[in-house]
Amino acid sequence: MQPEILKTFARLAPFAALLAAPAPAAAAPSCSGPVCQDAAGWSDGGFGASYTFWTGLQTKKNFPTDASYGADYLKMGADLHATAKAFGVSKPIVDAYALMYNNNGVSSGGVHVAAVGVVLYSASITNAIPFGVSRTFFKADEDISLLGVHIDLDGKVGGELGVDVTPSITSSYMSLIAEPYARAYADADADVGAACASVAVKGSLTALDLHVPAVITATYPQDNSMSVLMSLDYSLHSLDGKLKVELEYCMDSDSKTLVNFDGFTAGGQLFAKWGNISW
Amino acid sequence: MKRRFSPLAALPLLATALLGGGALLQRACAPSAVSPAAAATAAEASIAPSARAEASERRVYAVTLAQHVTVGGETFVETHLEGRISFLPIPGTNLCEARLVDPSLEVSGGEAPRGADLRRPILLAYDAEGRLEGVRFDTRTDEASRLLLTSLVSATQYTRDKGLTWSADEVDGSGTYRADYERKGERTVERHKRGYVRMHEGLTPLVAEGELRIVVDGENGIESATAHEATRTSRKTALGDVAGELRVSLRLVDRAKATRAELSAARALAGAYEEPNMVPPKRDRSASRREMDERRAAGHDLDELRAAFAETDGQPRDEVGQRRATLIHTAGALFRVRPEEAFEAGKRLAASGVTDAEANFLAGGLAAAGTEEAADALADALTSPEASIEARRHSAVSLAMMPVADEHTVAALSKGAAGDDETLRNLSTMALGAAGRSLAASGDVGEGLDPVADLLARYASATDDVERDMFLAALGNSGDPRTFEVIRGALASPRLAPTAAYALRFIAMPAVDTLLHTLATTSPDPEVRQATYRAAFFRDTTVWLPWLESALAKEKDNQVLEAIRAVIVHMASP
Repeated sequence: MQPEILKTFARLAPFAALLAAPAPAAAAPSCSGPVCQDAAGWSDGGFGASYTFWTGLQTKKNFPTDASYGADYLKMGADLHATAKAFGVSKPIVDAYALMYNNNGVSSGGVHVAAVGVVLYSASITNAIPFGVSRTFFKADEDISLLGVHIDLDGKVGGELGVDVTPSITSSYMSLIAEPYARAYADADADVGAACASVAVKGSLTALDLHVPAVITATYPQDNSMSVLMSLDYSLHSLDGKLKVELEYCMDSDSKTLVNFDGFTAGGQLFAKWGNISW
Repeated sequence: MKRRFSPLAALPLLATALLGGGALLQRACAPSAVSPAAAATAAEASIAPSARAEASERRVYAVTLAQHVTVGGETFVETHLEGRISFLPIPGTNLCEARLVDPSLEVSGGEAPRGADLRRPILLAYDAEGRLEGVRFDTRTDEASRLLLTSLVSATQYTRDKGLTWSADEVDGSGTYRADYERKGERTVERHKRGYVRMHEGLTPLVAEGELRIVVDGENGIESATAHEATRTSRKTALGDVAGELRVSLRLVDRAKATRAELSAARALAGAYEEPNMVPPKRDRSASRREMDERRAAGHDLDELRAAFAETDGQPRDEVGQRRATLIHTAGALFRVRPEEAFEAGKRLAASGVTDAEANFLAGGLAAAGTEEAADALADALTSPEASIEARRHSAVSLAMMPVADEHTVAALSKGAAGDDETLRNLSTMALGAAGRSLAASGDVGEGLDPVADLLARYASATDDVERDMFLAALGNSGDPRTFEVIRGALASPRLAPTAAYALRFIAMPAVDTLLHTLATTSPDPEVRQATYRAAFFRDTTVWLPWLESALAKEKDNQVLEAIRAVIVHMASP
């Protein structure tokens, strides 16, 4: 079964009119100069995932009329946000970014990693940080009760999240190697309340596997110009995998594949630049 | 599974049943009539069972019931019942005694009722409007018998009225549905059932369609009834479509005046039986969860899982992530069914020389277990003088993600938050905020156990914005209303405002939504607006979803626009 690739707005039938512009299609991030971003999602009603990411570099050019952004304004890094869905329950699973700023002569940076809304790590960027954990993100259950038959399902979404950061701030330039990532996998257990029957779910789904490595070095802007060395990449593996239910009776058994997504892998370089940028 | 009850065992009951006559369920327990003229009299007589009615007739019907449930198109459970069922209205009450006689039952794939429970009489209770209100069972009756008997009587319930067509809200074992009745000639009434108005609490939403056809005899008593219902879950489950079909038929085979002794015995049941209920008894989900855990953990032990996880170390993340997630789920199940393994995992985590990968696995498995024993083990590891810094860091992360907190875990996290390692301090501080939320949820916040109060004090005494930013993030994990004013104050600082906006996400106060709306529309800083929409992921959909329309139309920043779209998708997800 080919996963339904849903542009962000296309999933919103009741809200389609609300959306000002079509969102970029999955696996086709859009770049506007040194800024790239993308958003997409997949869902079959029971399981799914979605993501948004931003990576790149912004300058005063992006805020020409706002006086709070100085002529030396710089923002660089990568930001990733992802949700996963199990048994129809959608939750934000990962919110991870590493960003550095320069504005009016003051430089700062921050790294933030949250899982299911709980901030695990939030600090200013000072040193290299490899932060990554493997955890169960959330559980969702479903109790099916029909004509006296009970089937209990327990779904779990787990995986890895984190961000690798190597920062450098000098008097003449800022440099950041940042790679936020999210890998989420879903599987399920099932039980039927019967002495002579059982049901089991086998298999696992990759809900999402996304990482957004960014390597950016930029001199502080002067006279609407700066030197950059940057490479923005991404790697995406979409909803993929199979769930098979195995039914066993006293005298019989049967199995059936209920969910089978053929995912796809996409990725590559989004933007690369070595030289001068002016505006 | 096939189970057949011996007809011999049912002989005494059969003999009792054949002594009297009855009518079909609800009004059928009272003298029945279906012609418009006769219906009025019958309705008056049966809405409130009359105390002056001293005589009663037991009616006996041949009954067949067939039901099957399919999962993903495959037949999963089949039930076939044959036998007799008798109905005896109890004069002066709103009750009717019903009992299965000589049931022959075949069950395949599902729970089989105990024979004695299935044969035990039940009482059908009616409300003042004459609708079947519920079934009253002997307290000893097993769940499978309750479900089967409830299915049988609710499928054939009949709410009478005078007109040619009428409707009634009826209740069955799944919920309340609209029943539309229509007369078809002098002797026939049909009932059409279309979906549910509401489900009983906690039950899977279902779509149902059903037809009931009732034929009355010359004395307005019910002669036969046939019901057919098709039910399915209203959305595809993880197991695919789950659907069921139920067919019930009743055919009058005998009737007789009830004896005084029979009526006395039936009345005696009313004093001993449970209250009327159409809702299936609440199931003990813990037994089911344990079954699933045992199945997942079967054949695994801690050493084997540790070794399997260790094999993934050093390999490309995208090649081992799925394997690692499965191993951690399995470890969680193992630690729940065998708490001694959780204890052992904690000991290993607290020992010296634990690598980052092993700490990741052990702490991840303990977090997945989610038990108090697992939390204790993580707290011990966090404070162990021998534990590696990686083990302590992973323990703090796991405690942040667990919905379990107590004095022990808070003390351990407080120690971590005051330690020498900067990363551990940060991780433990964040986890203290999360612990505050867990304690509040369990009502365990008290004197000497109030991490949020401690975090507020540390925020107040912080000397720079870097520290304040960290404490704000930790306070945001708590969702504690006491943090609201502090967080609102921090919004005035451009440096702290994005963290403060996100820190509002869990606070259950209407003022928070108002403030977030204001920030989203008036903050000049796109970082703050983006943080606001990330916070909205955790707010009430009914409050936010309609409002996001205007936000989407007004926002100009592309990154913030994507944040708005993402939260709309999330909130609109069925």
